[in-house]
Amino acid sequence: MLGRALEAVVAAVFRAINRWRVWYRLPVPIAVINLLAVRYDLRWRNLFDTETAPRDLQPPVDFDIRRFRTADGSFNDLSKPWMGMAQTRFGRNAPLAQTFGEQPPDLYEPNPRLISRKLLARTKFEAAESVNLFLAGWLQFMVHDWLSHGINDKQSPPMCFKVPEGDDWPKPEMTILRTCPNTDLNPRDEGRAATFRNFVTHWWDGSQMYGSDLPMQCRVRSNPAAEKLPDGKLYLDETGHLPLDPDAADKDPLQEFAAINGNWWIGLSAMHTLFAREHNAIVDELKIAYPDKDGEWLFQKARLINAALIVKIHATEWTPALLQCPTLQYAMRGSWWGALGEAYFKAFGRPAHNELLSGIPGSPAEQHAAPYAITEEFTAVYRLHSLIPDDYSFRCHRDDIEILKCTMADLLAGGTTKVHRQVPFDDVLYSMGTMYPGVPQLHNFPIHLRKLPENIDQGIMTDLAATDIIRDRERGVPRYCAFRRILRMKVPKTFKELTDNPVWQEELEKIYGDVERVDLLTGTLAETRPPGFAISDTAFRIFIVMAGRRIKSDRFLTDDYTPEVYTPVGIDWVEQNGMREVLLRHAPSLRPTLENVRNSFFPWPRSAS
Amino acid sequence: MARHIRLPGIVDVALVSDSAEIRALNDERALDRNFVPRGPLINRLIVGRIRRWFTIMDQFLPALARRGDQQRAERQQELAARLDPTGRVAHWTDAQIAALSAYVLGSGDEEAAAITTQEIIGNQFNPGYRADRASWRAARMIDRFRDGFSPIQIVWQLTGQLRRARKLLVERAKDDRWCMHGTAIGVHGIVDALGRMRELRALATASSLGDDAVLARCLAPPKQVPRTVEGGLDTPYAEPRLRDGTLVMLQLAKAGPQAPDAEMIFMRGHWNACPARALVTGLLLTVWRRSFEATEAA
Repeated sequence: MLGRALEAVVAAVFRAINRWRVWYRLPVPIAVINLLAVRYDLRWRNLFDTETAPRDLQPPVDFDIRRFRTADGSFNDLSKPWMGMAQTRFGRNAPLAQTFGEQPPDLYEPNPRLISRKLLARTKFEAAESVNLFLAGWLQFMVHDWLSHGINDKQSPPMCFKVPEGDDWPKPEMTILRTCPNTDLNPRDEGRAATFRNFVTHWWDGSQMYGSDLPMQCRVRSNPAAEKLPDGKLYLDETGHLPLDPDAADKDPLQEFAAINGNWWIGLSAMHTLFAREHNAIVDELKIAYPDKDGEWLFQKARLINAALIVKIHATEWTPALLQCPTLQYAMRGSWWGALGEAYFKAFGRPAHNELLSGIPGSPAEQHAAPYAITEEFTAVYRLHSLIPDDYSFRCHRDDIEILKCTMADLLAGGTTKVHRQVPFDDVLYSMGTMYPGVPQLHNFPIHLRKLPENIDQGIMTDLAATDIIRDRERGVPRYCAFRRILRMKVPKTFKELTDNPVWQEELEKIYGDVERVDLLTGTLAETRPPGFAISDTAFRIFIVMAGRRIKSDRFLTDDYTPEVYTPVGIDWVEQNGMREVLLRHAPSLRPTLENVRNSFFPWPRSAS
Repeated sequence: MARHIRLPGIVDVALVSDSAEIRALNDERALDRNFVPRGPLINRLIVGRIRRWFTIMDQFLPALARRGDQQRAERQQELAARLDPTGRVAHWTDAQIAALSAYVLGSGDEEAAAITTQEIIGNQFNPGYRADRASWRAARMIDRFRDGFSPIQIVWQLTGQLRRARKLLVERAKDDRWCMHGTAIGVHGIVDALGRMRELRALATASSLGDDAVLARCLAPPKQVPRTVEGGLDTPYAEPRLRDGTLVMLQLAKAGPQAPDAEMIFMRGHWNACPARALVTGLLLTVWRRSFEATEAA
């Protein structure tokens, strides 16, 4: 109680300070406290629950919910077992009254295709040279763990708008299917904004690899003859790659199989392969330490450990690479190891269960203002397709000689398998480690993602940039200025206040006319970013609250992040390993390349020809 | 979990601000509106205040009447049917709607809109009801007095301003408790909603808002409503046990952002549902639509 009161006072003080000075212009130690204050505010003022009649669940029979994650994410929170499970609703960061989807004509204004062409389309690849392509692959790997809106709605009339004159789009109108609606409604939903369901578990539990229901979990553990592997491993083929997806055999026989294998490309394939191998390596280690345990126990423990390792890599390596400023380096690593730091932790262990001193893992779970759920606003700010390059060069890690040159279109879906057949896995990793992603900014949306073939025979294409714009409007994610207002941030009154770039100011004004109408995605891509940041400060606010929340709300990463639940071997595995160790374990030939790499998401040195 | 403030002999009040807890407690039969002086000092003062200022001829205003009050329940049903604007009876005049839509479009001040609104409400009970600046200011004083404690209230009481305000409103309501509640208390929810509607209408994206969105963004629940514990209550939402006479404040305004729906705003579906829900939402949507017709015509 006293702690919360103190936090409230500090938050109020920084609210006042931030009126005249933004957090990243403060000295580092004060900026760190400022961020904690912002997070406090967000936790108590920007988390909203959309569930109106949560399901009453019975615990599964013959399954230890205390010590293992359930397949569908239920019983993570034992007092609200439905919390975070698959098929429950997305939460919100915006007050619920402000989350109604936009209606025509404004739904189509300004024209999403016009925004795609004039503001988003990549004119020249702007590379983010402080990070490598793993950053993009990892992000999508994580997003597939956290959220899925499911297959779009084919029953309702699609959203439809005219394509502007002079456009090379193959049809005069662009149609975009609506998001799959939540049909599980009750009288309490009347008069409320529409909600959408998350088809995967909301938790950070590796559901993109392990599935969000038991049948899928069984499938990833089974060989092509549908026999579950008895030792608790995930099935990989004899070359150590993911198997091909039998369900896609008619459409794309080379599509790899994973629990979530939509929007598949080489970056995603590499991450799935790497962490499926990691799962199997954990099983091997557990088998040695606990020889009497059966395959089910080994699988469930390895899942718990693998998921926690992914969380750690994200918090202590991926995010500091994305947000390269001293304040964030300290804050993000602090979220795992606490204010006392990694060195103290490794020497003396966790001194307390206090989140600030010892990091979130092992501290008490807490839900703050609403039960845990991934939010629609979080989905919106994670639209970072600009990270994807259009052109790729796969090279040999020994001499840097090019093996294969291709475009994004060649790497999609089954194209990934073709690459794996031509390029050894270690070289795929080396190439990703030495390639740059794009900068998330205006005029850098991948060319190939603006003309995705959905059904070429029928002339159906997808412009992902236009889709990104209209999705936020459809799902009631507030536009840029309203969004900042909701987060208590300074709101630009003119386009000049929105971005320092004079050309963009003019372009935005021409399309939008009024700065209040700027879409969230466009605004965050145009906004002048804090120094060292790959994303906008606006998007970062959602990251602050949600990044910590994904850990803080999860029993298996807080109260039950203990040797009793993970096993001493498991805790040790999580604490002693990182991305570099994972890479070297499964691609040992990369050792010379990674020798002087401080963070695996930073660009790797190119081998001498 | 409710904040339970209990100092023996001084106070015993539980503050509930979670929407699910409010819903559950509101349906608890052990929670009622039985405002008889009992319990610690502050509880007695609060109850005394309710008894003195929010009764007419020893009868509580309807929003403070007991759960089992038969007259309250019957009138609630009768009013819900009569105040539905989809029926044949006209509930407002075209001039009144034009005045309110002009306010929403940015012209005129709040007081004029409030007087019009008060008159619309008053007319539902008494076709001859006339609102003016005096009646609106009296209603505002009563509302501020109801809303909580402040030193200025002592001045209002000592100078007799509060008594005169109440007397004026009771006279205008012709001693009708329901009319008094609507014109002195309920009216503020509508006037506040019109103020929010004015801000909403000024947005560049105003035309993209559907009816539900407009209502959700304009309406808000009252700040809090009091309940009394009858015979004690064991509930998972409060510790320690709630004793007979404990005052429970359902803090609807705090819970509102988490549950901006008719259930929280009008207690729809509960024994104490507001019978004016259809009237209020109908009035607001009529004003909203008229504001667009007015700009299109111009």
